[in-house]
Amino acid sequence: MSLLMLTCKEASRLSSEALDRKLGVREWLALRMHLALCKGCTRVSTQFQFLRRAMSQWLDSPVDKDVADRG
Amino acid sequence: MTKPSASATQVKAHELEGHRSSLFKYAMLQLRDEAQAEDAVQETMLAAMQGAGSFSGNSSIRTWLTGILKHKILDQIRKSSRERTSDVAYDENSSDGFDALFDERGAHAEKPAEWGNPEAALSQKKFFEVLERCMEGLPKNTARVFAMREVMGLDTDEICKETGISATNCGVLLYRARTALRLCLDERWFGANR
Repeated sequence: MSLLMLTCKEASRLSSEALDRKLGVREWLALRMHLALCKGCTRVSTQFQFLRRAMSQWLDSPVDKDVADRG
Repeated sequence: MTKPSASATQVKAHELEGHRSSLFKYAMLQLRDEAQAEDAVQETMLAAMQGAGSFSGNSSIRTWLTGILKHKILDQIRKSSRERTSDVAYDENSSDGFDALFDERGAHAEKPAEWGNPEAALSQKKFFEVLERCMEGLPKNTARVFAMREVMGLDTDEICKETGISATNCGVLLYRARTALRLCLDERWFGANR
């Protein structure tokens, strides 16, 4: 991949990778630059991060609380 | 030698039972196999009853049980990972329509939609039901790796070690899981009234 000009496909993939490993400086910069100019990829990145918050709350989600209350 | 009294253990057993269904749900998310999930939960219950005295009370019972269950699930995953290499290849190679998300120049074929204020969804029971349906729609190994990462909180090195999947493939599966869930939630929740 050309780190100066990421495609949306590459930027989406890197947004996911960023949640799993520390990106290299060049990768990180390339992603920041792309996100600054691309609304679609910013949404993808934000939605990936939201998924993480949702999953971390899933175990204590209202569904589970109801089950525990009944139990 | 001090042993927990019989009555204290019984209270504990009753309390444990109340968590059985959510433990099962947790195990199913990663194992995708009712028999394996039942086994993992059953072993957790037994271990919990035997170790009832070791519950420190510093964490909630749920957190304590989940900690035991994690180990039982990893045992199951290790046991089955030896037979699963072909499944993994299948998950990775399955054509899931993701390529259609981008045009030939790698740009979004259709601009991803705005979700407004998604945090509001986190207080809604219905949202988590939809999220669970979406997770059930993921291919087995994709779901498993995603759950190990996002629910168990393992890092990718640990996931590679437990499943025998390479770091690169692990990254691919996590990306696919996130993309599929994003699209599923967009369709069934955030975009439902669009």
